[in-house]
Parts: sequence; structure tokens; C-alpha cells
Amino acid sequence: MPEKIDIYSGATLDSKIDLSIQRGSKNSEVKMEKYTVEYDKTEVVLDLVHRVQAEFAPDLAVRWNCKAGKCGSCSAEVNGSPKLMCMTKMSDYTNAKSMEIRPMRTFPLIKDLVTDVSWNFEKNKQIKPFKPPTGVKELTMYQQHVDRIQEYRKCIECFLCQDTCHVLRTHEEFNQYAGPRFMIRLATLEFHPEDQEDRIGEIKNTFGVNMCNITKCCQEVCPEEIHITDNGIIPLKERVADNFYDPLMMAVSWIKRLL
Amino acid sequence: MIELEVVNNFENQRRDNWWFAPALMASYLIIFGIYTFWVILFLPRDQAFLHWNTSASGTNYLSPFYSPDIEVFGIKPPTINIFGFLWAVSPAIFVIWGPVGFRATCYYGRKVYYRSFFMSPPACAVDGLKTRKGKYHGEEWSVFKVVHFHRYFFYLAVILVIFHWIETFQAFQFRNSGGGLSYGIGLGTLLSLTDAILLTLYTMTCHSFRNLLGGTNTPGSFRYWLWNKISKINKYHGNFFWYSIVTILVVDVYFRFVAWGTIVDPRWLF
Repeated sequence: MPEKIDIYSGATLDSKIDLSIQRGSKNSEVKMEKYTVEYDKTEVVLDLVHRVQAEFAPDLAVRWNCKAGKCGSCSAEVNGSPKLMCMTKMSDYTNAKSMEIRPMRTFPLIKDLVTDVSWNFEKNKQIKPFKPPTGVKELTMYQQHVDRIQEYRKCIECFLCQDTCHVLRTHEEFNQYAGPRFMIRLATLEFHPEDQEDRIGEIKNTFGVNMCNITKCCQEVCPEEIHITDNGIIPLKERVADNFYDPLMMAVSWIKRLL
Repeated sequence: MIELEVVNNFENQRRDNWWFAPALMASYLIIFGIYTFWVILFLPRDQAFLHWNTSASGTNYLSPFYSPDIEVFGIKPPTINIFGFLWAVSPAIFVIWGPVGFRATCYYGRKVYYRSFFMSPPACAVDGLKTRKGKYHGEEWSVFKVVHFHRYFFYLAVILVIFHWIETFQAFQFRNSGGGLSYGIGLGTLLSLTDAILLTLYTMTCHSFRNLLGGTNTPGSFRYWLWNKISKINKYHGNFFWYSIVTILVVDVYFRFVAWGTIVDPRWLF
């Protein structure tokens, strides 16, 4: 019997899996629909979702763009774990007979696998932009300082960290906490050696850094492998402790202000 | 009227064994906690102080639970009469709060107990125990604010680690067959040395120490160099947390077996 080949990718479709995808929108019934899909072990989950779209459900809504883990569009929950569908290899599920794909639970559902992540963009607007020192024509900084910030700038805004963060996901504290993604953005600005903006008060009170109880799920799910908690949130918490809790550091900064 | 939304217990769609890691960590910490209570409340202190000139084994070992030896500072633990029962207060009670405080406020330790005991959350994308909306305060709540003083426990831990090293060097001393003092290496010495190394690594990879050093200092300066080095090994802070909490238990159990005479400490004297 001749091998079945995918006409677009050339993949050899020699395996089968029952793919359950959450279907429905905010105005209709939401349920899991099962599709039996043929696939190649070298494919990724997004390939299978596209095959479902091509062969069974042309009205299936899924947001995607680069299929290379760089645009941060295809965030979903594969077997309950927040992942980028384009970076989730089927070779990691070789013995699986079935798989479940759901949209990100933390954000409001639009349709099928597409959620409304606009809350994030509104939150982003609250962060004060970079404030350069006055009277300096050209900013110079050490490469090592650039390298430190560069890790945070790898963020592709897939919002998987926001989805998995239990402060937003379970406790729905959207007003109290900005979420890991914006802690990283704040760290980018706060750890810039030339930034003149005073952010620590806001980081504590407006963006709620101490709502985070450092269970490091954001770091576990980050597809860009940014050390969100270790290199971003914890150093910010330490700076908040310097300014609001540590009497010794508070005394030092008070004396510095006097001098 | 405020509507209180109840969140389902452990609601999740994960298909892997997400409960395994928190259950394993909780199990070990419960065993360690029970053992620690037993040690500091009931066990006679001379089992863990194997001074070369007093113990039958001729070793100079000190269990990490009793480190530093408070008698060095002239503190003598009292014996209290509780309704006719004489309770010799363990010297461990005087020192145990230091390491416990350091670990309880540790950034990695917090992850462990928030996941394993508070179930907040037990694992990623898994809801915690039944909670009510609006009741979560993170680390801005009541006594939990003590975690923001982790740096002070770090300062204390540095002092404790220095004492630990002094005691490790003392563990190279043995009573020889003539009754005098000899230097050598026993299995207990090696265990003590391993424990000291792991505790040093655990302490020096502390996030608070990293913050103390900075990160925006001038590259080329000693502070920046040290920050860079600490940052590289900081990612293993959690590993050192577990390795050192295991070696503490192993060392203490081994020293007790040596004290009871169950194990004859193998040693090589110079």
C-alpha cells in the first residue's frame, strides 16, 4: 500500500491520534470535538490543528503566524499544559492515543482556540516609558549591561506566563497584579543603568510584585526560556525589600539623600 | 452583597503526573520535620557531640543540628523539671531557628512549600485548594511579610557556615591509641566536609546575596565579577537546597550510629 503523503509539507502520515479540540465561542455552547488525525512523528501540534482545519472543520478558529516560535500567536493548552502549538513536537507524544487542545483559560474566549488577550496591552500602557538622563546627547553603556537586559527582551508576548500564573488564572487578580510578562518589562526598564524613572513604588503598589509567590510556573512555561522569576521578579522583589522593608537599606538611602 | 466565587479543588486538564514532584517534596520535608523535632526535643545531646577526648569513638564530630556548639559561647542548656520529668533542653533549640529561618524565607524554599503544602498552586496550570475570590494577598499578608527579611537570615547563615567549616576542620582530629591527639580522615570527616561544601554553595547562591552585590556595577570591578559568578550558579540554588537538606540528615543519622557504637567509623590517621 502506498504511503500517504501530505501534499503541502511532504510529511509521511503514518500515525494516527484522536485530537480533541475545544470548540465554541463566548455566545455558543463550548464543548470538546474529537477528530481522528493522521500525522508524521516529525510534525508539531499546530500541523495537526491545520490538518483538522483542512480536512474536517474549515471554521476552526486558531491564531497563528510564524510557526517558528517567534511570533507568540499560537499559545494554547496542550493536554492541560500551556504551550506554543508550533513548538510542541508530536515526537514527545509517541505513545499517546489521544490529545486535548484548549485555548488559554486565563483570558476571555473569543472562538475555539482564540482568546482575547487585550487586557495585556492595556496593562502595558500603564508602564512609564524609558526616561533618559537630561542633558546627555548620547547614551553609552557596557555590553554586559546590555546582555543582562537582552534576556528580558527575548519575550515574544505569547502570554503563556500570564496564562499559567495562578494569581491571574485561579485568583483572577487582574487589578492587583500585572503578571510575569510585565514584571519582565519592568525589569528591562528598572535594570537599565541609564533609566532615571523611579519605579519601585509602582512596582510594589500598582503592578503588585508581591502578589507573586515565586512558584516559578511562568519560568517553566516560557518558550523563550527567560528566567522570569530568578532574573526578573526576584531581583525586583529584592529592590522593593530594599525600599520598603529593610531598615538598614532604608537608612543608607536616607543618608545618601542627605549627602 | 459581595459575591464569593469558589474555585474548584485542583481543577486542571493536565495528563502528566503533576502531583508527583510536590508530593515527593512534601513527603521528604515531613520526614525531615518529624526527625528534626525528635532530635531537638528528645534525643540526648551527647550523641551528636562526639568530642575526641570524651567519646568512646575517639572522633571529634559535631552534628549539623547542633552547629555551632553553643557552649563555645558559654551557654549551658538547662535541665527543666516538668512535673517530675527531667527534660534536658537540647542545645539544638538555641541554633535551629537560624537555618530554619533561612530556608523558610529562601526564594526556592518558598516555591517548595507554596506548592507542596499551601497548594498555591500545587503545579503549573493546576488550581489550588478551595479558595475564595478576592482572598489572595500573595506575600503582602500578615506574618508572611517576614519573607522580605530573607537577607538578614542570609547574614546569619554566612556566620553559621563559617562555624560549620571550623567544625569540619575539627573533624580531622582523632584520639590515637596512645590517648593523644592525631590528625586523620574518617568517613564522618568526609560526610561533614560534603555537608559544609553543599551548605556553602546553598548559602552563596542566595538571591538576596545576588541583589546585595548588584548587577549594574561597572564591569571589571570585583563586585560585578562576583555578581556574574554568583548569577551563573544561582540557577542551581534549588539543587543545593535539596542536596544540603539531605546531607544534614545523613550526617546526623551517621553520627548517632557512631555514637551508639552500631557503626565503627572507618578512619585513616596520619
